[in-house]
This record gives sequence, structure tokens and C-alpha cells, in this order.
Amino acid sequence: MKPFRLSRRAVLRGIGGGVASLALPPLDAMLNNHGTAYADGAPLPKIFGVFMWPDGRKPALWDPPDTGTNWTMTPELMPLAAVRGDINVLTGFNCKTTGFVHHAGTVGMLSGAPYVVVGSGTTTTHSQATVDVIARNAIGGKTPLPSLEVGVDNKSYPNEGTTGYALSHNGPMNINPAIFSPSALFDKVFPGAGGGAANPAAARAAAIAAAGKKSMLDAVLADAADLRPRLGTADKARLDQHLDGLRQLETRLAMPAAPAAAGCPGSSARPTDPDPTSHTLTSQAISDVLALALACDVTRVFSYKYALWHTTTFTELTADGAKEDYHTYTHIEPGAQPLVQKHILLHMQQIAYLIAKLKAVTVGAGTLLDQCAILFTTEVQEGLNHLTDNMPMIVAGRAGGALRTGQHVHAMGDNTSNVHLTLLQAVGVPVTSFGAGPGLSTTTVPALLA
Amino acid sequence: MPAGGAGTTAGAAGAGGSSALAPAGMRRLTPTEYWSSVSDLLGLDASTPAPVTEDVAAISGFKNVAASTLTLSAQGVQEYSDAALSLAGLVFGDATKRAALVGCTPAAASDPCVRAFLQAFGRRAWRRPLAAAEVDRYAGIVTSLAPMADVWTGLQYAVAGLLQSPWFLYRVEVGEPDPTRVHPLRFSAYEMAERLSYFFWDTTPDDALLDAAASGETLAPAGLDAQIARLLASPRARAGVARFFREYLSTDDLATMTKDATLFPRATPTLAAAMRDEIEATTADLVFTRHADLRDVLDNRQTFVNAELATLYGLSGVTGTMLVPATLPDSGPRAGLLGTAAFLALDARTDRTSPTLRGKFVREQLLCEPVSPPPANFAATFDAPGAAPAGKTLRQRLVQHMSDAACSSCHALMDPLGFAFEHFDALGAYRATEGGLTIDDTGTVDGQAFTGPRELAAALRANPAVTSCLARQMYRYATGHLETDGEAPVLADVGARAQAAGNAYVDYLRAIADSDGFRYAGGLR
Repeated sequence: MKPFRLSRRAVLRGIGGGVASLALPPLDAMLNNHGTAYADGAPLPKIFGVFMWPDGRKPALWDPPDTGTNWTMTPELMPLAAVRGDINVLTGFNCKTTGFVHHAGTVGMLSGAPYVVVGSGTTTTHSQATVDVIARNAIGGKTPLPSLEVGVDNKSYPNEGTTGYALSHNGPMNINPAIFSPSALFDKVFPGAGGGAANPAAARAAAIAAAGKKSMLDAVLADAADLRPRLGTADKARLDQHLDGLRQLETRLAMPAAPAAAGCPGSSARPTDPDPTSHTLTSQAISDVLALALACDVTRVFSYKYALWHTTTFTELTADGAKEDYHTYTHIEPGAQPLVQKHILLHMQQIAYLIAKLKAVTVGAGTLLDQCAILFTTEVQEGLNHLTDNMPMIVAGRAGGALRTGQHVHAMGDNTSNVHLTLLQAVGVPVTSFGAGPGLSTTTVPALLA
Repeated sequence: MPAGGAGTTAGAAGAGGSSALAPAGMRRLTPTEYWSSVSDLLGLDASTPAPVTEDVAAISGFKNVAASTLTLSAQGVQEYSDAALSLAGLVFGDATKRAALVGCTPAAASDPCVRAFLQAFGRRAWRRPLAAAEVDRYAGIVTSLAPMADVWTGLQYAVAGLLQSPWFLYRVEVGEPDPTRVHPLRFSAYEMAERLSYFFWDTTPDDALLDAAASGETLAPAGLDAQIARLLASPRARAGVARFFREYLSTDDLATMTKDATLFPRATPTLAAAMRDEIEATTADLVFTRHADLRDVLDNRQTFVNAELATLYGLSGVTGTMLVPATLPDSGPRAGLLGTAAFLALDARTDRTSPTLRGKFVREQLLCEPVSPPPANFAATFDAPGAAPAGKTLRQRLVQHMSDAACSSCHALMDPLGFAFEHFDALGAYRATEGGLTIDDTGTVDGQAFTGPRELAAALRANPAVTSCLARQMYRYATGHLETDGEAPVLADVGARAQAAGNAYVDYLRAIADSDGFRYAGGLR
């Protein structure tokens, strides 16, 4: 029997009332016979993500001694054993951005550019958009949410500026803060999922609310238009971004209800927030909702602030002696630093969880992970030494066939920005360079390309 | 364009050219400014939970400094929209609350009550009168919704709009041409009203202040002084001073401070809250009750403790959870800000003291001398509890800071100050010895020798750099920006005027609000 095919556009016409920007999960009925593209020939959407873990790794325990696809598993990479075929382990790349410890690596690994000092001491901000924002601006426009910013550890350390506060930056003093609550994230991805206008009274209330919000937003947009000519150049840019936010609200209001979680592959119910002091439980719950959002094509770009260098206590390691900020132990624990090693293993477990979660979602003939290019990285080589050469990175996913996986790639001091440029191009972002200043790259990493 | 509002057009920006003063611009309300403002505007009681609104990362301790340049994200715009909708729904869903807010009962969308309310509420919310076209705009929401719902519902969405408008979420302080032409811009009468209100009261202006702006009083020296006096005389001025010290001393961090429960069984959330409240009560007492000299914060012995904090301090005879006045003994080791548990516990580790952190506080927060961050490529394992031979004090183990040249250039600025506090453990309790070892709490501050924190405080009190640093911190909080090099004469003038007036904390508040840096700007950001 001939397989029934449903064109993606027909689906959009059917439910969207002409709103062609609404994305839908790529249901099998809409795909071609090979499950590698939509039936109308449009390629499956590609996904870009960036994830940061804090305070580096231990090179002797993390880095494979050999390169290629048959690399020897190491103690600190063990949690990733089940997905080793879907990832590349990267070592030997140097972050070229220099300056204050932790700040240089954080900014350099996210934007490839220098930071800007905005206050006394180490109060800094980014100078350029971070890699996720560059991806969002190019491939984020087709989905209900241009990007998602999620997080696990929301420790913010005084006087570290926005660099020590948020991962995703549009530019200087211009951040996209993360959502740290799994339930709040679910509500953002699937607004109104809990409700439902089943009875006439509720439907009427919903209609009034929609009309009220519409006229309210119209007024606020007109206010902003009045305000704009009175501002200087820098404030105009700030207001313009505020306007973008208002227009996003307007767009979502005009859309039919966003896809329900239940309609997506690997669907799950609205989570309740676990104990926020457990990084493991929070990270898993956040990863669950994130995977669902990606499976539903609610967004194609994400940033994941698992933790920046200052952290809250990893309470799951209390029995092992963890009593404060993980960063402290990278400096004060003597010898082989067994407690630091346990933290690194924990970080790798959370990374492996997200990767496995994406791999478990079937999309056409492959998996959701196959459509991804996700960069997992950190801001120093090793917490103890604060160096920013020989930076560790993990790249997960094949970017819809653009990337090769399964390897340990060791570079001889190449620019870390080469990796960002490679991944951006792999997901279809039309850029020929990444970064600025010493971190500027116009070169890709050939070993990563399929 | 709005009539009485910001008052100028962008053309004024070009008029300035160069000026020594900092530029003016659009400042986001901080989350706390937002919450105190909407609470006042809607008459919310203290039990109403604050909605989630995008936070700001502090710059040099102050969130309002960061909010002067920080952009709001798309997520933040949504959060403020959701918050406005839910708060308006809370008020208009309650017949008593909405009657109290609106003050009249609108029979129809065309009822004069509607426009009268929008004008009055709009002026309070936007801190300036609304132009006729703006009133039309918001009355239009009522007109469009009334047929399908009712007038109250229309007003509900109008209020939700007013409370998420950029004119509410940002303090639009873009100035107007300075008629005396001394500076490119002066802040308009309404802009002055909001600058005064958020500085002194940490919230939106009241009607009296807006009326003073309407008559131009906030621009004239005599009228400005009268308003400053009125604001300072109000009990609400405590909120502004409390906010300053909370951010300057990071006392909000006490809520999430963790201490090793085995070593410090007394470290409870209630004790941490008492430490925070002690700072608030003591500074309010110094500023408002005793009109104390600015420097008294360094050696003040009049404090406020509850039973838990009194036990930590070794004071007897205090019972209960409420803070009560107490006097620290003149013969004791503890006095002033540097004797508070808030400082001693915050600038320590979970299980041990940190002379480096404590010295860094003195250097950066009291002397306004930033310390460089540690260099790359060092392995800092020296103050690990198990890393050093037993039988040595932390000070003796920290000797590497001073002997290794890579470390000593910066640690020499911090550690010798921090050693003064070694008689106070990581929770701020006095200890005679460090686990049986003799404590050496001698040191030097910029060449002057001292023993213990009270002698250090005396040396700091005598140092003019400390006085000017405290004034500078207040100026940052008041103006919402870090002082520029060109503002050095303004700061010198503030200091001279405050000292001539008696050097009390309130003298500085007055001198800052009167200063050119508070009233004028160098151009548009």
C-alpha cells in the first residue's frame, strides 16, 4: 500500500489560519519515503545548542591518549560511553581570548571575542553576541520560540558582571537569562497546556483575554514608538530589543495554541520542580523539557547554563565532602583532588543524559540527535590552573549529515573558534567567520566534516 | 508627544558636545524598584507574592548601576507583561480593591470617571502627566473591550498596559537643554522627582513630589532643598538608606550563605537574618536617629541584636527573636561595621576564615581600591585545610601569598588587613585561639601598624580616603552610574559641602541630591 503523505504546508494551512511560521513536529506522515526530508523536499530542521559546564576537567583523566574513532575510553569520559559513536571529543584547541581568569575563557568560548570591563575589579560583560544568538538570528525565525535559554545552577557571584551571570548574550550588557525551573520552562514551551477552552464560558473568557491583550500590546507598542525619538543611540538599541520582545508576544498571541506536548515524540507531562539544590535532578528535568521542545520543533536553538564557574553546592556530593561552591575545591583540594574528580564525573553524567535523551527521539529514519550540532564546553583547561589552552570540548550530533562523529580530535593549539564556525556552518548559518580580535576564526575543522 | 514628561527632544543630544558629566539615558527599574513601585501604585499589601521579573547582575555591588545600561531580554518582556496582567487581574478581580484604586464607578466607557482615573493613575505610574493622545490611547482599550466584557475589564487591561509600558519599566531620564548652558543637559522637573524618590525612598514618587515637579520646584534650589528635607523626614527614607547598605554590603547574600554545620551548629537561617537586620537597624539608627558622623559606622558600639545574635556576640541579658538595642563593651574586641557578623561571616569560607576576602572587602569597599584578579596559570592549593603542616595557624600557612612574587603584589594589599580579624571565626564569633594556637592579629594599613580590628578601624577612620570612598559609593547608588573622571570636581564639592555641614550621613545625602552630577548630564547615552 502506498504510504499516506501529508505535506507540511497542508498541515500549516489546516490549522494555522495562514500563520505559516508555526512549526510542527516532523510527523512520519509528512516525511518522504526515506524519512530523511519532508515529502515536499524541504530538509528536516537542524538544531544548534551550546552547553557550559564549570571549571574545566583533569586532562590526565579526561583526555583520551589516542585520536581517531578507536580512542581509548578514559575515567572521566566513562559516562559518555553509551553515546561515543554520536559525539566527538575535542582537545588541544586554544582559547585565544585573554585576560581575567574565568572571564576570558567564558567569553572566549561563547563568542570567540574579548570581554568588556564595565565596573570595578572583574565586573565584565561580553563584547559580541554569543554563538547561540548568532545561530538564533539565522535559523531561529521559523519556530514559535526563536531560542530557549535554560539553566540548572543559578548562582550569581557579586561583581562578576553579566559574564558571571548569564550565558547567552546579544551584546554588551544585553543578556538572555536562563529559565531554571523545569515547570516554568514547560509553561513557556507549551503555554496554556494545562487549561483548555472546553466550555462556552471559558471560551468567552479566553476571547476577552485575547482581545484585551491585543489592545494592550497595541498601546504599549505605540508608547515605545513615541519614546524612541527621544533617546540616544545606545538607548535606541535597547528599546529596539524591547520592541522585539513585544512583537514576539504579539506573534504568539496571533498564533493558534502552540503544539501540545502530548503530540510530540517522547511526550511527557508538565514536570514538578525537583529539589533545586540537586543539580542532577534539575538538569535531568530541564533536559527532558528541552528535548520535548526540540522534538516538537518549538525551537531550534538553545543555550544551556548548566553552571558557570561559581556554583552552588553540589548537594548530591555532600557525603563525599562537598560543602560549598565547587570552584573552591578546584583550588583548595590537595593532591589528586578526588572530590573535584567526582564533580567532573557528575557534569559528564548530565551531558550524557541530555545526549541520550535526544538520541531516544526518532525522527524519520534517524534520531533527533542526528539533526543537532551541540557544543559542550567549559571556561578553563583545568580549574586548578586557570589556563585557557588545551580546552576540552564535546560536539554531539551530526547536524543532519554535515558532521562526522565518533572521534577524538586533538588539535595542536588551533583556535577554539574554528569549532564554533564549523558547527554554525553545519547547521546552515551563513557565516564565514566567528569571533573577534585574537579569537577571530575563518577556518573550519576538517576532521569534523562528513 | 507627552506634554509634561521628559521634556526634550533628541536634538538636545547634539547641543552638548563634550561635558565632564556622565551621559543621561533610559534606566530600567531594578526588580526591587519595580516591586516597591507597583505595590505603591496598586495598594498591594505585603503578603502579595512578588512576580518573577528579570533580575539584573550588579555592577560594583549596585543593581541600579547595572540597570542603567542593561537591556531587557525577550523573556524579560514577557515576564513583565505576565506580571502586569496578573497584578491587574488581582486588583480588578476584587470589587473592593478596584473601587479603592479607581475611586469612582464608571457606568460606561464614555464615563468621565474613566479618563479621570487614567490621567491620575497614569501620572503616578509614568511619573509624569500623560499627553492627551496617551489618555486617548488607553481610554481606547476600555472602549474596545467594554462591549464584549465590561468597563472594569477594559480598565484592567488599560492598567496592565500602563504597567508594562516602557514609560513605566524605564526611568526615562533624558534631560532637557540646560538654560544656564553650563552643562549640556539638566534633568527635567519630573525627572528630578523620580531621581529623588528612588534615591531617598526606593520607590515611585508620591503625589506631593509630582505636584512639586508640576510647579517646577524640583528644579529651583530652594524648592529642591524643601523636597529633600521632606523626603528625608519621612519614615519612607529608611527604605532608601536600607537599600543602599543592602547592595553596598551585599547583605542579601546572607540568605544563601552556607556554613559547615558540624563546625558551626549555631549557623541557622534565623541567625543569618538577624545579621542582615542588625546592619539595617544600626545604619538607620546612625543616619536618622543619631544623625551620626559618616565615619561613626566604623567604630559605632550602639547596635541591635536578638537573643541568637547576642549569644554569638557574647552579650548577656537579651531574649527573644526581635532585635533590641544593645551596647558593645568598650573593652571588647568588637565594634563598628568591621565587627558585625554580617561582614565577618560573609567574607569567610564555609569552614574557616579568609583573611584575603576580609582584606579585599576593606581594600575595595572602604578604600575604593580595586584589587586585580588572580593571574592565570597558578595552582592555588596553599590554604587548603589539609595541605599544610599541622600546628600552624592559617596566617602562617598563608605566608606563600607573601613570599611568592606572583601572589604577593596583590595579596599584600589584602591579607595584612584581613589578619586583623583572625580573632573572629568564620561565623563571626570571638575566639581566643585558633584551635589552641596563638593568634597574631597585628598588621599594617598603608604603613600604619595596628593590632586587631578596632585599631584598624581607628586607622581607617583617620584616613580621608575612607570618607571619600563612602561618599563615592553613595553617589553611585544615587546617580545609577560609576563616577566618570570628569566628575571628580563634583565629588570633591559633595565632600566639602557635607563636611562643612557637619559630616553626618544625611549631609552627604543632601549634598549629593543637590550636586551638579545629580541634576545635570553631559549628553545622551
